[in-house]
Amino acid sequence: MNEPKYLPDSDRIGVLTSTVLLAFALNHLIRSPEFNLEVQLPGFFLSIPLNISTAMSVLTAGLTATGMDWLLRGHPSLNGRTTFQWWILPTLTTFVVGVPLTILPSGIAWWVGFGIGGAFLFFVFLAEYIVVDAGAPYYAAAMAGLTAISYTLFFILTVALRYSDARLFLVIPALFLAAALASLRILHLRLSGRWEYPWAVGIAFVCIQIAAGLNYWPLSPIQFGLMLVGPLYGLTNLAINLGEDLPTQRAAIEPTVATALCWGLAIFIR
Amino acid sequence: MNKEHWQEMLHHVNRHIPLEACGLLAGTDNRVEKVIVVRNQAQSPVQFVMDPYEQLKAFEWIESNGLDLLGIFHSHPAGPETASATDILEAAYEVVHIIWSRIEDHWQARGFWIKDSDASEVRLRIIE
Repeated sequence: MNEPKYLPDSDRIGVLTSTVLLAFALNHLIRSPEFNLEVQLPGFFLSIPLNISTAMSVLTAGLTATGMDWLLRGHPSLNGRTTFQWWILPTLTTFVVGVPLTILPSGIAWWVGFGIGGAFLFFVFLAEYIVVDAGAPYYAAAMAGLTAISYTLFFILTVALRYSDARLFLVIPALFLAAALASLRILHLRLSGRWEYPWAVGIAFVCIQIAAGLNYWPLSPIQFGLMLVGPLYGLTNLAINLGEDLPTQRAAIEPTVATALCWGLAIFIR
Repeated sequence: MNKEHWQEMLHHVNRHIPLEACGLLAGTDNRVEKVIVVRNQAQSPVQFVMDPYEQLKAFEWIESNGLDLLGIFHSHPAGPETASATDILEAAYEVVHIIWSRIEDHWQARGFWIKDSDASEVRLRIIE
């Protein structure tokens, strides 16, 4: 009799992780002339760098999504379901890990980032595979890990974007997308498979409003990250608490405290 | 920066004697392309506080024109020639701080890089 299979095929997950890492490495090694798409639109100047790195980032995200689908096809509990929900976080992870790897100079720091990124990706692939089956023995641990990784990814992205002095018109869409996807995935995990699109869009909208407001403040990347991850955590948890039918006042306590803690840390840390 | 930028700053600081005057320098790759004067909200001969609304509008203009903030200038109509203790303490942005000081009706400007409570002088170059 076949044992239920809660863990992914080691060959498949190994091939997927190493292929994405190879794409990161190639992206770092290949130097290409940069072409800036510059357009003066009414009210702002749009300048988007177009080079192999930009193309590779898009391709790597696509590779991750299709790779995750391929990995999940071997899951015995998939039962013909669409795999979209399990691509979100891996694709976001690839996108976020790629940002600091593009910014970091060659050397030990880059290799450390590469190693940590690889470990992150492997864990996300593994955890997403596990949460396909709510009866899996490691389900709770995988869900907690994915939740923690979602917030961590958002924090890493905000810090990396701030560190790179990216323009506001690039920061805002990137943060909107990351906040919406992270909160959507967390809410879906925590609220028994419900897609809370209005909450995810609302949370992302609040996050980008705060990001835009803080854009010209002389904040360090860590301060900027803390100022944004606080509201993301607070609002997502508020949505979860309300989704679990907690009274409004009780539902708001923990998110408020967590947000205040993040903002307090941001004030004292430089 | 070019001569026009220099003259623009000089005219602005001179026009506000005996009060301190201030503004921002925008450009790319350490090359100034625009001088943006900002009202000194403090209206004081020994202190400057940029008008927050004008400062925000200036930052938005810089962003919307694809430029970077390169420097902040302000005047010391009654000296000193260098960054004061308050300038060092309140420096929030890691950019060149240009101090215009007046000695016997003659203005001079010096650039300083302020970081970690320390001001080190940087060379300002006027290009033709």
